[in-house]
Parts: sequence; C-alpha cells; structure tokens
Amino acid sequence: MMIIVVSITGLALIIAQRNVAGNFERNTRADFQSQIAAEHAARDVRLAVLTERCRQLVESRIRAAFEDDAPDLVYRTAQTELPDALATREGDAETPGSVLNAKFYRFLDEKGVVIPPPAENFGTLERGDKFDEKDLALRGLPEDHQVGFVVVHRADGSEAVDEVIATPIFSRNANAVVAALVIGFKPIALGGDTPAHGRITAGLWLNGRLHMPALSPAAVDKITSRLDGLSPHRLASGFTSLSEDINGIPHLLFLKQTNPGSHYPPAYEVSLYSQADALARQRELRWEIVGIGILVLLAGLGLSHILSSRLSEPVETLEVVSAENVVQRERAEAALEVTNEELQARNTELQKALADLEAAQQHVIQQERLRALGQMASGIAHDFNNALVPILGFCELLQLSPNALQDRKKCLGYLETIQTAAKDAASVVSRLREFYRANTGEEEFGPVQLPRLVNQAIKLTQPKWKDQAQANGVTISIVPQLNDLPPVRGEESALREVLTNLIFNAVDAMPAGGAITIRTRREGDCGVLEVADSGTGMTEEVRQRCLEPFFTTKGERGTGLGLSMVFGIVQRHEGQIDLRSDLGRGTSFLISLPFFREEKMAARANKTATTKSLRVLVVDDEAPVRALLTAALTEDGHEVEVAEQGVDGLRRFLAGKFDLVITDKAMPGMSGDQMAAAIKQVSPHLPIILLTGFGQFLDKEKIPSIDVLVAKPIGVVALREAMSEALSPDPIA
Amino acid sequence: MRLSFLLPIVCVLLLIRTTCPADAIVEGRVTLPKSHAAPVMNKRYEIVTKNGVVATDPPRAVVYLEGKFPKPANLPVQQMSQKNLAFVTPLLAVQVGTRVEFPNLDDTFHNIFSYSPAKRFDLGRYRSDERPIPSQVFDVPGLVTLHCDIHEHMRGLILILDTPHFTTSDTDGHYRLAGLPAGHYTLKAWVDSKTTKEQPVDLKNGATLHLDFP
Repeated sequence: MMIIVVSITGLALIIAQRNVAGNFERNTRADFQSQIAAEHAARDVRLAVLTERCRQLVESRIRAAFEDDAPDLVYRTAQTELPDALATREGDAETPGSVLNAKFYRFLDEKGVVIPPPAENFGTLERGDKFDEKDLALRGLPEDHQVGFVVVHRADGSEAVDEVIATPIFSRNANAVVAALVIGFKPIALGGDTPAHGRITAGLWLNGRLHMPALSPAAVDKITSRLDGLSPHRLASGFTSLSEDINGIPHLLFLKQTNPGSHYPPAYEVSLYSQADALARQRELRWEIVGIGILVLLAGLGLSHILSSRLSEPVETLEVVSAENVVQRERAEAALEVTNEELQARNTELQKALADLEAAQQHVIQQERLRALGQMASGIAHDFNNALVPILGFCELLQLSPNALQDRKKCLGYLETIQTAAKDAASVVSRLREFYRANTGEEEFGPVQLPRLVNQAIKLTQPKWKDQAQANGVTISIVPQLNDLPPVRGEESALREVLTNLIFNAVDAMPAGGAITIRTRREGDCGVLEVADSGTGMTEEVRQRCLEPFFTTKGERGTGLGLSMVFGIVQRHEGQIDLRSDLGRGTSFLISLPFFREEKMAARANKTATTKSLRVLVVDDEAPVRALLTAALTEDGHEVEVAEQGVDGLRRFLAGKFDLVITDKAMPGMSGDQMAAAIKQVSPHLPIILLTGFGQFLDKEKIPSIDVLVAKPIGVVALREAMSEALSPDPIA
Repeated sequence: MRLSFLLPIVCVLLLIRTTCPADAIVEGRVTLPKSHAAPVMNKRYEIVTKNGVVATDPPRAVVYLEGKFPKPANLPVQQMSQKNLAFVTPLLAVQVGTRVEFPNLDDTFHNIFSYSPAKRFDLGRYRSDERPIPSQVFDVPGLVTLHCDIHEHMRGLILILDTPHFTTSDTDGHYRLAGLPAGHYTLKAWVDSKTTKEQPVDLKNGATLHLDFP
C-alpha cells in the first residue's frame, strides 16, 4: 500500500517537474531571442553610423588626392584626416580614433589590392596591431561599402577579430571608383566578454575558426566541430540549435551571418546562451516540489499512525486478557488496514476534488473576465459613438452651412465642443486601463463643478436633442435649473458621460417631444444632479431592471449598456443613484456625489512647467505628433531636434548632446524601447520619456530603459508633468 | 587730375601699338561644348566635373600660342580670390613662373590646397586679414585643381602655360590675341581637362589672321 502511495506521489512529482521544466525552456528561449534581437538592432545602428562616417570621410581630401592623381599623398592625408573624422564630439578624441574604436586603415588600389603604407607609422591608429594585409584585399573594387572581419594580433599578444569596412572612393575626374578605404574597427562587444548566466556570450565564426575568447579551448573545439559539420546552405540561413552541452551545462546556440552579401569572406556571429541559471532555478523548484511531496506524505502517514494507534489500543488490552482475542485482533488489524486504505483513497479523492475545484474556479474567473471584456468592448464602442456624435454633427454643420464659418464666435464655439468630445473619446479609450490594472485606490479624482458640467453636456448633446429631434418634427427643450454648489469629487469626463447618457435616454423617452429639466442642488455633504424628463416613464419591471447590463427597451437601437455604465461610474465615484418614474408622466434620475475635499489637491501642485531650457530629442514616425511636441516644447523655451525613426534618432543622439529624449514606442524599424535601450548603453542617466498608444497595457517596470511612460494622446500639461517627473533628480526618492 | 595723369600713358601705349607694325594678331572663335546647365540669371561661372571631364560652366577656352619665347625677368603677380565661397575667377591662365596670390574675401576661413602634379601645396587655414596674402609660384606647366579643405564644393583651375601669349575666350568662344611675333607656330585652345585643340598658324607682321577652332 505504502509503495503505491509513494509511487503515485513520485509520479505526480515527476509530471509537475516536467511541466515546470517545459515552462523554463520556453522562457529562456524567449529571453535569449529578445536579447539577440536587441543586440542586432544595436549592431545595425552602429554599422549604419560607421558606414556613414566612412562615406563622409572619403568625401574629403582623400578623394581629392585620388582625383588629382596623387596616390602617394593618400596615407599622409588620411593620417591627419582620420582621427578628426572618427571622433564623434569635440574633446572626446584623447586617443586617435578612440570614440568609434577605429584601429587601422588601408587603401585599396583599382584592382582591390592593398596599397602599402609609405612608412610604419602610417595606416595605424593604435600601435602594435598586426594582421595579414591580404585579408583586407578585395577582388576588384566594390560599388558599395563592404563589411568584413580580420584576425588581429594585438600588441599585448592577444588575438582579436576586428571589423573592417571598405568604402569605395569615387573619382569624378575619372568617373569611376578608383580606390577604396578600409578602416578596421574594434567590433561592438555583443553580450558579455565573460560567460555569465542569463547573458549571451558572443563570438565569431570566420574562415572555419571560432573566435570566442570567453570560452575554454575545449569548449571552442566542441562548438567548432559542431559548426564544421554544417552545410553552406544551413550556414547561410541562420538557425538556433536546440542545445549544446558545454562543461556539462546546456547552452542555446545561435548563428547568423553578420555581413551577408559582402565581398569579404562570410563571418557568422555565434551567440551562446547559458541555461545554467534556468537549470539552477529548475533544480531549486524540483527540490521544493519534492519537499512538499514528502511533507504531504509524512503528514498522511502521521495521521494514519495516530488513527491506527488509537484503534489498536483496546485491541492490545484484549490481547492481554485473552489469547482468543488474537483472532479478533487480527480481524481488527485487517479492518484497520481497510480503514487506512480508505483513508488514503479519500485523501486522493479530496485532492482531486480540490484540483477540480481550482480548475473550475480559474475557468469561472476567465469566463468572467471574458464576459467583462466583451461588455467593456461594446461599452467602449457605445461611448465612443456617443463622443463621435457631436464631432461628426458639428463638422457636418460647419461644412453644410457656409454662414457658420463666417461667424467666428459660433465657429469657435463649435470647435470647442468638438474638442471636448474628442477629449472624452480619448478618455473612453483610457478607461480600458481599469480593466487591465487592478484599481489602486488612487484614482485621479479632481474637483468638478456640476453646473458647468451640465452646460457642457447640454451643448455636447445638442445635435441629438435639438437638431435630430427637430428633423423628426419633434420639439424638445432642456431647462437647466442650476444652483451654485461646491465642487464634487470626480472625473470630469466620466461624469459628463453620465449626463450625456441620461440626456440621450430622456430624449429617447420622449418620442412626442417635451422638456428635460436638469437640476443641481446641495444635500448635506453631497451635490445632487437631477435629470428629469416628461416622457413615457417606466413600468415597475423596467424600473427594477434598467440598471442591469444589456437590458434595453430600445430593441435593436440600444445596447442596454448606457444606464449600467452610468451606474458603474456613479459607484466608482462613491455616489448614489436614485430613480423615480411615473408611467406616462416621466422619469427622473437623481445622482448624488460627495463634495471634493481639498487635501487631495496638494500632491499635484508641485508639478509645474520645467523652467530650465533643455535640448530635447523627439523621435516619432507621425508628423502631427512631432509637430505638436516641437511646438509645445519650443513654447516652453526648449530646443528641439526631431527624428522620424529609431535608427535616425539614435544617429542624432550620437551626433549631438541632449538633456532629454521623448520617443514614440511603435515605429517602423527600430522601436522606441529598443532605441531607448541603445541610448541607455551610452548615456545611462539621460532621461527618456516613452509615448505610447498602448500605455495602458504596459508597465514601466518592464522597460527598464524608460524613465517615464506616457499614454497617447498627450496634452501639453501631461507633457510638462512627464518632463518634470523624468527630470526630477531622483525618481525613487 | 587722375585722368590727366593717365592720359600720357594711354597715348604712349597707343603709340607703341601703332608704331609696332611687326605685331601679328590672330582672332576667331573656338567652338565650345554646350553648357551643361540651363541658363540661369546671374548664374555663377564655375568649375564642374561631369563624366570625368573638368571644365568651366559656362564653358570658356584658353587660347595660347606655343613656341619658344624669351622669358621675361619679372612676371606680374596674379590673384585668385575666394569670394562668396567660390574662386574668382574660377579659371586662371598664367605664364610659367608666375606668383599667384589667394586673398580670402569672405568672412570665414578658407584652406586652399592642391594635389595636382603640376603644383602641390597647402596654404592652411586663413582669414581675410592674413598678411602677407598667401601665394604660390607656379613653375611647372600643367593644370592645377584648387580645393578648399573647409568647403568641399569649391573648385578652381589654374592653367600654367609656357608662353607669354595667351588669352581666355568669352563664353561664346570669341578670342583675340594681339602682339604676336611673326613666324610658324602652333595655336592651341584648351577647352577642358580632356580637350585641347590645336592648329598650325603662319603669322605675318601687321596682318590679322582669322582662325576658328571647329
């Protein structure tokens, strides 16, 4: 029996462990791939910068020397031109070529053969590097730049692989490419130089040799023999090998040609990702699982032991009294065994039931989430449409009646209404956040002036209650009876939505026309908002159910969400909703909201416009956003440089000095967060603000290179707040 | 005042011309390649390189008489200035041994250099107040391309000729060379870096020869 129990437990443990192992493998693989992608992006950008530098460099005296037939002067010219041109910023160039890590250079003649430097101190920017000159030669001159790799013996005896870029030199006098300049750069350090857990170890596979200084010779041999066996086709395609055991630790291996299409011999970047970390974590978990299993077993055994000892006590007494009782005792023991078995079976059953219950609960939660998501989505569509009504309505009005455009005041009024509606639409979208994030209890409720809100809502809904109704031959009037009262605590756009919904409902309830009365008044600690119509009223059943989601009396036209949303918003505001309806005489909704208390305001007061003038780099692929940011920042006295893409942004960042970077997230090519990561590698303290349309779904903590995350659409005030947050000396304190 | 001072000089010059019937004159028209660019008002007269050919745009020719002529002891100093980030004038013909000054008339630095085999030099960076004005003596015949290290687009040409008898045509190709000695010579017309036309001439004292370069 015991054996069965133990083996079942063991089996369960093995299955659990398998599961965990599978998850880990997926996670490590994903981590590895994202690291590689980020490093490739950084590499591409660096290469773009380098080739551009080389191109500029060649368009100088160097080209003049070749054009004017003075090849004897090229090395002398280059020796003075190169260090200047390869330094990014003034004052940075302590060592020649240090900034871009240029090490040496050579010229190729019209046949692609290396022109030997005239003396030893020419052609090198850092003394002592030795390499085979033939490795730099090309078969003929290229039309475009070529990237290659060359094995270099450094002065200290170490061996390294330098990246070389050959840039063609076009002579206008000869109307042809007459030479090429080859510059050797120290390649970018991909991943770690030393193997570290959870990090990529990088190396290069070049001419049948693996250069991976971080690895032991034995490990290098092992990978070399693995790579040697690959067909050229396989090499060209780039692949991820499942695992490669190095020193007994499984590694993920990735191979990719770094210079596809180059006239230089192909070089393959080899990335190794140690799974040791994952393995250790997995082992830890395995022990945890085993430990828990043993604990459960022990507890079960202990329990059965207590039970059996209790039951066996009287049996033992009996045995002392009479030997006949031996039979009885045996029977009792057999019964005990049965009991024990039953207990075990029950235990298993219970555990299964518990697991079932848990699964069922998860299922229900998921169902609930899906249902809520569905509701949310249709609710958002509903609200969005409501927000679009005034936008479309007033736009049409402006288009159709030319007189309206003449009347500046009226026109501005319309535009203001359109703006308000658009802002509401934006806030509708931002409400999605509430679904994805748990309510932190710190919602940004501000003071809301109910009378002002009512006037806005009346204007906002005018296309529906006035224009549309008139078109249907019905007259509806709105009678505001507004008493002054202190501001209530709330979110203005949400409350405006409540009012909009109530007005729409009132209009729908008055198919023959009538009056809507909107009142505000004070009642104790609350402000009360009343919307009363003189419409058809509700039956008792409708009155009972009207706040339920999907309950509608409008058939196809209604979603049944309007009032349920009103209810939700009022609840969120810790307010009360009351409803009085007389069939045939009308309905009135009474909403009471608590007044706003001052102390919550203090927290926001210190966020003011940044007074210092800053140099700001703005990166966004959308021209209107760029224009808005530029205008807003320039207005605040900042200097702005713009870029349309991540790569371009990075280039500008490398070329200039900035105090702040503001970037879009989703851009073609390099995304904003990738660019931010690359920037942070160079300037870890440069604050970066990420703008995103997906702001609601992202957590700042998940993008370490970002200082402040701002959701689009962004306004001037929000921009200022984000800037002061990003520039505050210590965001943690 | 000034005029009265100049008047005798002009008279003397006229006297020399009229009293030297030994001088021959050659004039005519060099057929120039079509201008690369569409005519633009006030367009700069500049050096362009197209299809491997360096020429002026609009095109001009330098017409010169080749032969053995006595070398004058003192050649006048010529100037090639930099104004508005261009060489003025972009094409300068000089006799071998001439000193050319390169005054900078801009408010910015210039750095004139040449890698041409006929004369390699680098004047370094200098401004308009540089004194003495940076200069070079050109003592080998040939074509020198001038660059500015700071302004990559700037180009100037100096054509160094081993003859005192040369002139630059107008943009229609018309030229006139006066004061030539009588005899058999070769008349050459430099059109661009790849084209120099030539024709034999038989010059007679007092006669005006009309000669076109097709």
